[in-house]
Amino acid sequence: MNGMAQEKIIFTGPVGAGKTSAIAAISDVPPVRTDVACRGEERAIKDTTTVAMDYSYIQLDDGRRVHLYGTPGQARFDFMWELLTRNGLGLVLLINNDHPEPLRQLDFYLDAFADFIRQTGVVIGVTRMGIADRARLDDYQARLFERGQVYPVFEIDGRSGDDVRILVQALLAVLTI
Amino acid sequence: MSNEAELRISPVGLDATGHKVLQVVLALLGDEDGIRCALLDADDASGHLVIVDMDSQQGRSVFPGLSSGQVKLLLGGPPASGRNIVSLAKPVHVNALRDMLLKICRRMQVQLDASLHDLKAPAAAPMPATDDTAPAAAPDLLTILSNARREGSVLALAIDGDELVLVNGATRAFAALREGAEERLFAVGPEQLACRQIDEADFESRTHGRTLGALDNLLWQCAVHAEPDRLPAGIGDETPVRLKAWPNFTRQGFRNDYFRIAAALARQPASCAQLVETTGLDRRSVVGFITACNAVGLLVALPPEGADPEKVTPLHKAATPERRGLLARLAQRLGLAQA
Ligand SMILES: Nc1nc2c(ncn2[C@@H]2O[C@H](COP(=O)(O)OP(=O)(O)OP(=O)(O)O)[C@@H](O)[C@H]2O)c(=O)[nH]1
Ligand SMILES: [Mg+2]
Repeated sequence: MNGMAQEKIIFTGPVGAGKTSAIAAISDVPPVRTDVACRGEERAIKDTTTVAMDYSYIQLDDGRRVHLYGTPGQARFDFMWELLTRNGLGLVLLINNDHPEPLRQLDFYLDAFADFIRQTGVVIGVTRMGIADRARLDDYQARLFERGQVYPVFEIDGRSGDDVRILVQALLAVLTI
Repeated sequence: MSNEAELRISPVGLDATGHKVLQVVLALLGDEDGIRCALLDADDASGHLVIVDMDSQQGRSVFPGLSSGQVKLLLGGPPASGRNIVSLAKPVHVNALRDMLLKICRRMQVQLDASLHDLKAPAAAPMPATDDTAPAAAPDLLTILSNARREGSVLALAIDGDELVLVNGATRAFAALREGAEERLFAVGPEQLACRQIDEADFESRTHGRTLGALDNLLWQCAVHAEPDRLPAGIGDETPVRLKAWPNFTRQGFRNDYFRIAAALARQPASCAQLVETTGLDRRSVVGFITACNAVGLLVALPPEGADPEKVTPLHKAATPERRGLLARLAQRLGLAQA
């Protein structure tokens, strides 16, 4: 695959947050790794870089597809996130609660995707909640409050289709209200 | 009616231009960011936040005497650092000062506004639904639980002498003593409900080995179950309310109508009447949501102009009609209620 489709939902978050699991839980086909070309329009046309992303889709009854992309977990690709998200529908941010500093991860990803979130919307799923008691859901609520952002945040199991569908439902509510 | 503490700001040593810029910024903060601050007189350095022009004689002489608890925003002068000190280079532009004040105010409001602690610890008073025309009536379950949460009291709740649920308002926990105890409490009227104070040790010993639930969960379910047709005291149909945080729906059952109301309120403050209109949902859902959020301390009632759509910057842009169509199909495809 070269460029990216426009009807896309982006799944992002740190390494091991459950991005691949979450995409797999709601998509029509198992996610595959695909190289996505990011072409900087402002820059020279040949300035193209490829990033390996998770990819799958959900086919709608009119034949169109909503594409699901998962960003690579490492932050070293953050310079391309603006391009990867361009024209996307919205963002699903997953944070693994057993990360040593989950709230810093939350800040990092919300800041990194701030423009995209402003243009569209975000929903936050906190995964691996039972594994390490780093933060509770109200710690996430409080952090978002400090940031002045009322974003949907849920405790989920990234492997559960029902849980991921709830995330998508909240995202749709945010995007369509 | 706002139950937020007001942030007091002292301007020290600012020249005429500095004052103008500050006034413009404070007006923007009030109108667009919903943050209201009181600007103190130029010789009153007692504010929560002190804005000091370090290029002025007055600024340089007042600065060393400020208390360590006050937040100091230094304009110009040599770079400075330390606890509660931030600086901004000159010339000071409206946008830069606004961004800076926005950050500071939000941080400070977290410390200041007692009701904010509501997100983490027992504090301010969410207003329980009360019927002021019938003061003699026995308090309903929602009022009892809200009071326990506010006052940190420890209670046993019973029907017909049968104790069903223990509540600890201080630790914001509860335990059901029987299977289905919560539902039984929700189902009876205030006359049948008995509640007595118990001590913490009693709560500890009687809940030992039992699963403790979050009191806010119980309150939320109680508020939703009550399906009230009137808003909590202090909130009228036209009173704008602001949502402090997206409610924790994790174990509340998931309701698309509530998601839509939460999404609308997350976008901008609105009154019950406005929410009914923007969401197209029936008033009962909106009242239920407002009651539940109020019970768990997630709502702030604002002064009347707080919901003026012209004055509020929405968090997100609205989706185009084409996208809406696509998203509706996606909802359908995933078996979700129509968004
Ligand atoms: N216990 C638990 N395990 C989870 C949860 N979500 C995902 N996992 C598991 O966590 C591991 C990592 O999940 P992935 O879906 O691979 O995470 P990822 O975000 O794609 O990770 P990277 O691609 O490495 O960035 C897998 O073993 C999942 O099965 C959860 O909510 N709870
Ligand atoms: Mg992965």
